[in-house]
Amino acid sequence: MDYSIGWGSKNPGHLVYLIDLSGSMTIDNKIEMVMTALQKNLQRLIIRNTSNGLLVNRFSVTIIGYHTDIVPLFSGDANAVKALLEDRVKNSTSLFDFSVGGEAEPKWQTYMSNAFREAKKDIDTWLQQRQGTNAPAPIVINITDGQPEEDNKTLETCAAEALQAAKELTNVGTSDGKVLLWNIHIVGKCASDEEIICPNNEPIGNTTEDKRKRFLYQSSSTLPSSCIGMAQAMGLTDVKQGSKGMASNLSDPALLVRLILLGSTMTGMSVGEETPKP
Amino acid sequence: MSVVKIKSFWGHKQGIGFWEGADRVAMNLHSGRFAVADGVSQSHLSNIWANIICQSYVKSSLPAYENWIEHYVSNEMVSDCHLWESQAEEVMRTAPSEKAFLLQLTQEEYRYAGSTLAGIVVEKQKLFYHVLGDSCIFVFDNQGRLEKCLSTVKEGESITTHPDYLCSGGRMVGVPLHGILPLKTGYVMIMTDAFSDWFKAKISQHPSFVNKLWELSCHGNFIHLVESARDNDDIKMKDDDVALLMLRIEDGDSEQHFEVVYSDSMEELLKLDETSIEIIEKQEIDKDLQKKTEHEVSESYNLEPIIITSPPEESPLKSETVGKQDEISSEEHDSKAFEFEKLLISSEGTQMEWPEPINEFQMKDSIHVDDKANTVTLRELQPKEYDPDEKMEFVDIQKSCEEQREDEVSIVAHSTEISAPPCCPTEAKVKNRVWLHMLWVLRKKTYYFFLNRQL
Repeated sequence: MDYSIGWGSKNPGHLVYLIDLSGSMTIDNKIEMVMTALQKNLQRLIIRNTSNGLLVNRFSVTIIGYHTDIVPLFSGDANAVKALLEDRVKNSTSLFDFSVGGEAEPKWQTYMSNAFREAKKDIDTWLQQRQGTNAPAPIVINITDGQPEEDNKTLETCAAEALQAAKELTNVGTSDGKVLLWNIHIVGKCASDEEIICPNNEPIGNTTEDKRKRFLYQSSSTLPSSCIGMAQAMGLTDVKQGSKGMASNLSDPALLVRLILLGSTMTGMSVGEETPKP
Repeated sequence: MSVVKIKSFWGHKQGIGFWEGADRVAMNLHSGRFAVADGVSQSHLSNIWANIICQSYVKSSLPAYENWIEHYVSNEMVSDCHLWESQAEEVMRTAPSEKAFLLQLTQEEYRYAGSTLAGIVVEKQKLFYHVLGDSCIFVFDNQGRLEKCLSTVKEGESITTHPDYLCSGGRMVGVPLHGILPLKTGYVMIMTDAFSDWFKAKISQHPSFVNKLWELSCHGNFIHLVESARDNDDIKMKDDDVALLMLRIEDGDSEQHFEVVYSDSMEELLKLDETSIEIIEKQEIDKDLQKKTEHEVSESYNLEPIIITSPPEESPLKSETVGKQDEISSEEHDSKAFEFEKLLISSEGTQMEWPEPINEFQMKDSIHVDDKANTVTLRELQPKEYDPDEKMEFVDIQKSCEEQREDEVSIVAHSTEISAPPCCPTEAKVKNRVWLHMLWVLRKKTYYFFLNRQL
């Protein structure tokens, strides 16, 4: 178990993106920032797996939106991702329709524990299909602007339940390793608190903000040592052994793209694929 | 004076075809120039660029002692950049729809192409080398001991963060390495990074592995080596394009001369990509065959059906049986000598040699022909897994070129487990011979092979 199996056409990787579609995502157009970042990330994944015009089918993707309900948005292999992107580029539309009445319309609350459970269901299905093969460890990336919040429950109860669901999610895996869970918290234009990226130490304090960060820290996976170098090469020089796959108070769209890409490829894309552009 | 024997091989990563592979090999026996180039994967149409770089190196008339790479960057590179641009534009313009979007993405993302280069010039008992990037040149003495390993990747340095390459935008990244060595008996091997990383690990465990590597004799066993290394070996080879150029320097009486013992023909291998369409058609035909009766198959494909019978029970080999259950004894089997030409195409369109180690006698024993009953008995062979410590035995392909016989018949053997398409990737016809086309499912790969039996 060392996260060393690279994605290949014979052993494709699997990514699950959980997208917070709660009502607050409309504030400061955070939902547009996330959709754009996700589209760019998928595009980069396609490009990274294209060899002189031919796409090598090395990964599959599931995208799950969540608010009070679960909103399945997409599921498919690299070819299906390419088709989705091609359609969106051709029609100049967003990855998913987040307008009022659209498939990804932000509304209601943040049932994060449901999202983690849905991700686990998806991964359980994928693992069954990959049984007996050398499957790379799956990766889950959760992008949220808040914290677990459900009707008729305290924030503490919601956080505890979501933490439990996250632990169950990260308890499954392949011979390559357990599921890696990244949590990325975003804010609108005016960030009130400092940005945190891949911290080594659990946040302390008792404010609501502190508890939210602590929840993210506790539910996120520790970065495997194989990806430390990759993170540092991407400019995240503070990432070191023991760092968590977590970010909080992100407002920079470009940084969001980089973190999603790092999270998506940190174990699956083999060393040598990070050659800088000519 | 020296005799320089040459072997070169070429392969691609899993899931793509030869054209998309970005490694290239080139040689010029008149000038003694040899080159290997590896297109940077995170760039646009690097296969085209790698090819241009390779060709420029081997066609160059610059004195070998000059720093070719630096000279190239300052002089000929500009025109090669234009050449790349025009070829890339042509590819973009004529790309099929499923590729067009992807090429557009990579063009917007990268704009240019990058490539490494590892080249040597063998001249007047000297070896001149020019390297930029992580492709490697290995020099071994005649005992198979490593003397030099040349690339611009420094020991301990990560190739991911500091790759060196030539850019089709007209610049060079990194500092090239060049120098001169005396030409001694032994080996010189040039290889791209995936193969060289694996090879370095291999020779640290098996110091005489270079001798074994030299025994590679055809594309099929090269691919077999690579796929075993990717899938099964304790030292795993990264799934990447591969290029290997080997020179064996021997003492000779006359002037220095070059002898190509084996060289993968890029032209032929690129044509194989076209056969992938036939293979897809074959799969459709397979489905069709399974639904039809024997008579319907003969009618639709204008064929004579072959009946495969069981071999004697004492046969140690597993056999396929279909149709009539007439038994033939081992004494009755055809004792006529027959030549056979083997051409194997894997399901990925890769030309391959018969799985080895299987010697010629085993090959002949696997197929029994009875003229009277017009039956052919096929025995399924169980080749061993590739073992790097075992001496490899290879079967030579016996090729003959004779005129086509007008009444030549193509015979198709089919069964519930083995089905064969009537289509044939190669069109070679031979007089007085019958082609037996068979499809053999082996190790989860699908092969065609042709048995050429003299009547």
